[in-house]
Amino acid sequence: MFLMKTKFKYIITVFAMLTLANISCTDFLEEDNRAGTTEGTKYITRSGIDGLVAASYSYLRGWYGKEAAFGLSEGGTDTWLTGYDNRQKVLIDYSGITPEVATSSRETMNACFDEYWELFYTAVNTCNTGLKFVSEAASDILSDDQRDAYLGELKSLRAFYYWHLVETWGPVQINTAPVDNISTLAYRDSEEDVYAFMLNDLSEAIVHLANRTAKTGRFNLWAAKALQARILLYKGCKFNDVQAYTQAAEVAEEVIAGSGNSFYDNYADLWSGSYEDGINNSEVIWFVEYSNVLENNIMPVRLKLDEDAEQMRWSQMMLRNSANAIGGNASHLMFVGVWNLVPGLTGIMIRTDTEQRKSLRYLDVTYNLGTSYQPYSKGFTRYVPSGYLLDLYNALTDQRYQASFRDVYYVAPSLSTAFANGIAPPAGFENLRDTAIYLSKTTVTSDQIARAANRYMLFSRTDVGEPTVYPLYQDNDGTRPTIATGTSGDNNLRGNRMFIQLKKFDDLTGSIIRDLGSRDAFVIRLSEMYLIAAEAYMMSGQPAMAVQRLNDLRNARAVPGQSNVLDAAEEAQVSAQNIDVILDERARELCGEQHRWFDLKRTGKLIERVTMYNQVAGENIQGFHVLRPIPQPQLDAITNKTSGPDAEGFWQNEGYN
Amino acid sequence: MLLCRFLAFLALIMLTATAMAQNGRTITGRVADSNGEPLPGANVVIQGTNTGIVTDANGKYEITVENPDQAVLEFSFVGFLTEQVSVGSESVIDMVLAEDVTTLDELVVIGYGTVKKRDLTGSVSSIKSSEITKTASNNALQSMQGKIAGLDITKVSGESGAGVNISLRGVRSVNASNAPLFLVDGIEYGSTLDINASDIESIEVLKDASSTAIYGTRGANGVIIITTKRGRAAADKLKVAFNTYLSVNSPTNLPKLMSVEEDYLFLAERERFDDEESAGDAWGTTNLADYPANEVLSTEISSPYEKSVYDIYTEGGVDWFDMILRNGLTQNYELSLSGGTERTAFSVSLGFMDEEGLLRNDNLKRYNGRINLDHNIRQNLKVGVSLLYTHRDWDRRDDGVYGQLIKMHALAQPYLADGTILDRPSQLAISHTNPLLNEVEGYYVNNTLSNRLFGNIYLDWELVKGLRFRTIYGIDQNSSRMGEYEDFMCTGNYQSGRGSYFEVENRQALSYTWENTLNYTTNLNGVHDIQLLAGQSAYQNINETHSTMGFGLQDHYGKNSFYDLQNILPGGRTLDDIYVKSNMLSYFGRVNYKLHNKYLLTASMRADGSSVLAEGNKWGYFPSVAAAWVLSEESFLNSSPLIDNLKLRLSWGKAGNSSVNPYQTLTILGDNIPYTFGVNELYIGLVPSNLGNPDVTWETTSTYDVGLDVSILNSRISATFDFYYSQTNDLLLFKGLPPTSVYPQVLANVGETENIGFETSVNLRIIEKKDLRWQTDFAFSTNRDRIVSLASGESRDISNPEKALVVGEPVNSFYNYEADGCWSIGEAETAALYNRIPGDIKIFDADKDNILNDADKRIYNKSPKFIFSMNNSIQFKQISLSALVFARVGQWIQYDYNTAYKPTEQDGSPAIDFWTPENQGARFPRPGIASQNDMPALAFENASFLKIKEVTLAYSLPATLVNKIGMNNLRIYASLQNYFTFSNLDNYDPERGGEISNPLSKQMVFGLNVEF
Repeated sequence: MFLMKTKFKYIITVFAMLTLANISCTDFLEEDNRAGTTEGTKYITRSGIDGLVAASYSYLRGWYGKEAAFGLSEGGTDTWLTGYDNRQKVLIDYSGITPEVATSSRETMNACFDEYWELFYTAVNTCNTGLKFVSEAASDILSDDQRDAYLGELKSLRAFYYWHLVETWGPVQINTAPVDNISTLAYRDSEEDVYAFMLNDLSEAIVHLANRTAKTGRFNLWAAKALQARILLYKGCKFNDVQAYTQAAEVAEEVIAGSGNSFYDNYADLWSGSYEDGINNSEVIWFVEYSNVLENNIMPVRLKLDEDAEQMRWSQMMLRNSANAIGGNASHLMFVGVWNLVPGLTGIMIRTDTEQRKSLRYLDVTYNLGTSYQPYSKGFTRYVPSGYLLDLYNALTDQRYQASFRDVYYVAPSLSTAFANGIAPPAGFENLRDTAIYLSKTTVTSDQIARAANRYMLFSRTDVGEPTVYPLYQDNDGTRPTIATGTSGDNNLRGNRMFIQLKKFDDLTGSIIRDLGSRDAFVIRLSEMYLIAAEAYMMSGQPAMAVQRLNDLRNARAVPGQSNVLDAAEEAQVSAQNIDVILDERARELCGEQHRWFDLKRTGKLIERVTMYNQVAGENIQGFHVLRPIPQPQLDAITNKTSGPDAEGFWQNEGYN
Repeated sequence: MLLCRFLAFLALIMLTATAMAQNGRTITGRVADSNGEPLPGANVVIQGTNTGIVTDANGKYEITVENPDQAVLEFSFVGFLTEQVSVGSESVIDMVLAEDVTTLDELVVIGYGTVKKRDLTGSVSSIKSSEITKTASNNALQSMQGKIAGLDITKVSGESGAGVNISLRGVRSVNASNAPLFLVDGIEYGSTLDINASDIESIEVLKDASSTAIYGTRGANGVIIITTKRGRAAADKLKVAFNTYLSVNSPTNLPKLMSVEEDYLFLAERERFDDEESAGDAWGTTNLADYPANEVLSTEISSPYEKSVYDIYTEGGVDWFDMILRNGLTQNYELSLSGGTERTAFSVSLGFMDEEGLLRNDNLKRYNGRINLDHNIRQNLKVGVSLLYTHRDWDRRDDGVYGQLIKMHALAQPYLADGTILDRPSQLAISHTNPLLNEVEGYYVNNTLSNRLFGNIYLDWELVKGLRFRTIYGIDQNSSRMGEYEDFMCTGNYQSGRGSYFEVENRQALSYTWENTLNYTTNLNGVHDIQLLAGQSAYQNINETHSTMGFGLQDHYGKNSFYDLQNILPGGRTLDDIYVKSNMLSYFGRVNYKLHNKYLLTASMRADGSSVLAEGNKWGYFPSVAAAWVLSEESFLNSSPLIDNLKLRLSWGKAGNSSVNPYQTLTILGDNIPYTFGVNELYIGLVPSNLGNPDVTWETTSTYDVGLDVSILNSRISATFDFYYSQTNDLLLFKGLPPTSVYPQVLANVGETENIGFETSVNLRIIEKKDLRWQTDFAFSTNRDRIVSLASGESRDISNPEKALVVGEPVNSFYNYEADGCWSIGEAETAALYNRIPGDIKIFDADKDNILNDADKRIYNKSPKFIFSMNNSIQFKQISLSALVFARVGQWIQYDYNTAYKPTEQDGSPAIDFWTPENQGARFPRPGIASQNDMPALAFENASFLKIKEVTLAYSLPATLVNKIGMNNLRIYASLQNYFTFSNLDNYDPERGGEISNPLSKQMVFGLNVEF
């Protein structure tokens, strides 16, 4: 109209050019991220892949050596009773296991089900992410040899994480690839499928790891085979699968013969500070690393966000750390009584609670305690040994009682010299020399009482009616500890606060300040291979081989010069395929090592043995407790919840609805 | 307005050119305003022709009229009523123009253009430069507080350099920002406005979606457009303006801590409680007289203290707030020069501000330089540049010191007799370190140095008449260095036994905007006014940050402070790197149509493409439409003597909230995870920490607005009313996923909120005489926001009681118990049902089931029910007095003072009214009772307040006098700002929002404006 045609064209051309100048770079609207924190930038580098594979292991630190996991693997069994300050009482006495308690923020009663459910699925996803990027890595980044090793490690780890999932919750969803889409659907694969999946992973891993035999803490050939043996044994046991038993025995024998591991003559060496590093320990096949650089013990942060969209922290029971992002092994705290709160004796045995306090002052004289005086660890009073466990050992023939348990507490060394030289001991203990406390796993005799009088404090298995002798248990079978009514003075000297201590996990090198241990968590040991072989032989009808393997282990643990082999009754049990003989031996050898609940569960003995040996839990335990409840957040977030087993749905385990 | 003058000027130049070489009579004269002041640049046009001229610097003109007998001269000037005079036989015509108080011809800046106020279809408010310079503040945006209906502004804190919280028409978003978009000369700037107040020509607030939709994804929270002053041709006369003020800043109100007497009574009461409890809950059986001060308080002197607690008691103790706080002084200087020729105009200014907060070394120094240049290459081709440079040197204090202060006892000894600071001053709370330690020279340093270059170049080309092409390229380059040093003796470090702390953060941010627009204006047959806009915009922002932090030894590093990061212990150094880039590409268009000056229609559309969204999801479309009907132009009203203007407006539009952060569609890796193999073979790994959601998109808000503009009685009364309803969809919330999908939640567009509100502003010119003017402005706004839905049908998410989300309830609210006093002794039995004892907080049991649970909690709305303000200004001859009253009513705050009371702890305490057997009506629980679980119920306070926000008295020297000394204007003023606050909270300014740290300050301001 008003515009002359040529001018109009000119204008349009200018405008179009300017416009096109902007969009001609077609990638203008592409995301460009350079700070190195996406998969696409990090996992195409060697260091990124190395780190990803290493990080896949770090989830294990949420389970091995951590308080919350002791509740799920040792608590609520025939071997351990509830200690005074146990934070998971409703879990381990089966009185209040509900999907809600799983998510309770109350630290005191937290079963941590929800966090473990998250932890294992995150761990599996990290393995899956690793498998994807290791497979895809260019050959100039990763040699074929290294690629093989990493694939083997990740598959072994994935199988191991699934073992925890399936044994805790039963049928669980199998994730075979990294999650990359939003889904509110979930499914439960049968236990048979999960076992097939794990064993397939392990057979592939074993091929990948064929030339990896050095022990570094990574999954090597022998660790993968040892895990395979364990899972085959579980398979045999769960599904009455004789073939699986046969395979389990074969693989276990391979490991015994080939791994290069050997027993210490002195069982105590296995647990000594000198060999606390899994690499140096000849009995350890595979372990979870805890570094004495405490900052290097942290775990990946939780993926769940809090209300401020910050990543939440795992429960303190799983982290065992402080705000400074450091972590550690907590096993040395779980099985210890309040020896440092014993009236009258506290001052002379005092645990140093700061690095500075390596001396103690008594009657105005300062006694030097040495560089690291923390002889008995800190009394967290979480787990009390049951009478059943203590009675399993013949202390005269078997090294394992003395090496596993502490029933004597000594006066601090420099003070015991002082007392011997005439310094006055505390009131009531005028003859005090070196022993301060003695706990007897049997009911004490009058001779024992007379000997202890004014010399050391005495605890007896049961009440003997003497005010100076403190009873450990309410009953002679040791199924119920006596209950403390206070936290100081005489009131606290009861069986659930002061008890015979499992000392396997003593950590003499850990940081005293933070109650953080740097002892490696031994996950698979040589003796487990003997026990697997023995059980597998027994269950596949080869009792002689079973007895042989059990006696091999027994002999390795014998007190020098003593015969420690199976007696006639035990041999008869083997012949009769009575699993009790195996369970008893596993308790002697593996107590506290996070096997027990799963052993009892797979052998179908959980209910029977808990009822028999752990009264408080026995009153509450029911058949459905062999599976743990699916955490409520999982059920809340899915859209295909069903009331019972359904291939297209996801359901709560029976008994927890 | 400035732009309008400029355009008028341009038009006149063209008219002048065509008016050459004609015969006829020459008419001369002078154009002045009602005060007799000359009006330079006024237009004088022979009606019906293109012939015209502009007046010179003295308001004089000379024009040749060809046919004088029939000719009519039309005098016009922006802001004044146009007058027509028949020439007849006159040869000298002087004209006095009356100010156009209706201001309907004023130009209002809208998105990508300007429009006359009378032609507005949307809801837009403006504030002019004279109002902006009235408020003494580091941020000119604060001048809008209480002056624009619908805009809720509160000051963040009393710290130097503290910004403002701004929200427009309530809150919409839960996880994203609710702050409007701030533009300076068309380019995004942000809300920390480092621009001299006197450099700002106007601030426009675009409120409804028909105005903001042209900004697409960034418009949902409203748009605030700041226009800076440009030079103008003024007959080669240089205009110089100098503005300065000094202000003394002192705290408005300070929290009161327990005096020594109250401290003693608190401790005595605690002993009474213990005794009554051990006597078998024998409440009220003891006598205060049995707990004299010399028994409750220790009379022993223990090293290192030089006085016993009892000695301090008798001496009267200390006032910690008084010891730490001081009055601050702010100085502000602004100098500007402007002028120009017909072809080139400039405006240059310099500014310096030195603002002090209430703590020593709490200080912001700001240096500004600005230059705006415009040049006409040809009559139809103009180029220009705007550059703003700001340098800031900002020293901040550790506000943790306030948290420490409130824990201090009056019964403490801060110094030894020789003046040494006692590191643990309180014998009653031995673990608390002395807040004075933070004040020791060199112990705490936090300094930010920043340089910002912000500006644009443009080209404006009128291709043919009515069609303009404009291209503008804007940059914003900001670099800053933040350094922090915290000595190991500073309270935080000292208490936890750490070493000295170092942190340095270097930041580089660069963004550019390139916009091209075509604007076509035409009028068809004098009936149809049409304005078309088409445009395109590209935007890029890159932010790069590198920080280093860590602890050193327990050593005083003094002057090294954060400059020497080698002092961080080996292995203790943490690095953090951020690189964020986001790009956006947009196309937009708008049609304005006006029929017979009565019917107005606006429609716009914007398409935004963003890099932060995933492929296939990158583009969003934001339409709007608005209509207005000028009833006063209709025949049944246009002859009404009463009504000057009556306009009905209707609008609808959709705008977005660009709340999607970059890389949210990608899977990001988390923190470093170490794991060791072999002998110390350490590997550091990164694992995915979130699930990128490729489907996330912007939150969008649709707004309906009905508005009415009224002006009556010769514009002595004018008012605007707006009623609006808005709905925000695709709210970004975290959606829960099952852990089997590994990531327990993902950010997704689930949820909906709505806002409904009413706002009005009324302007009254009560007295309008030459020597006496009295004007009153009212603004009132009310808004209700509400959550309509949350993720996958949830009815509430109360996981965070401080940010509860409940369907049907306000977006911003607390969710907690309500306290109903404390249990009295007579109520012991009932209290026992709740496991409480007399002296415990009585939690209101809403459903009377004797169980306290979520059902008994209530919503406390954080947003005000309404905001009201009244601004009065009276001018008598050369003196003017103005006062602004501002009220914000109905909002709840969580008052940290209340929860700082800890009945069982060793801490010092706020001076609250606690329960005793003699004072059972008290609101706070009895000393000695563990009440921490119930204390949150006492935290909530209704923070309604009314403030006399500012009172200003000014005196301008008479023009005749200042002209003699070569000035145009000289004004001095004094102002009290924030001085008078009325609320139900004693010793606290509720505008602060509940926190104890950095109390708001009041200012006594003395200022001077000079113009040459």
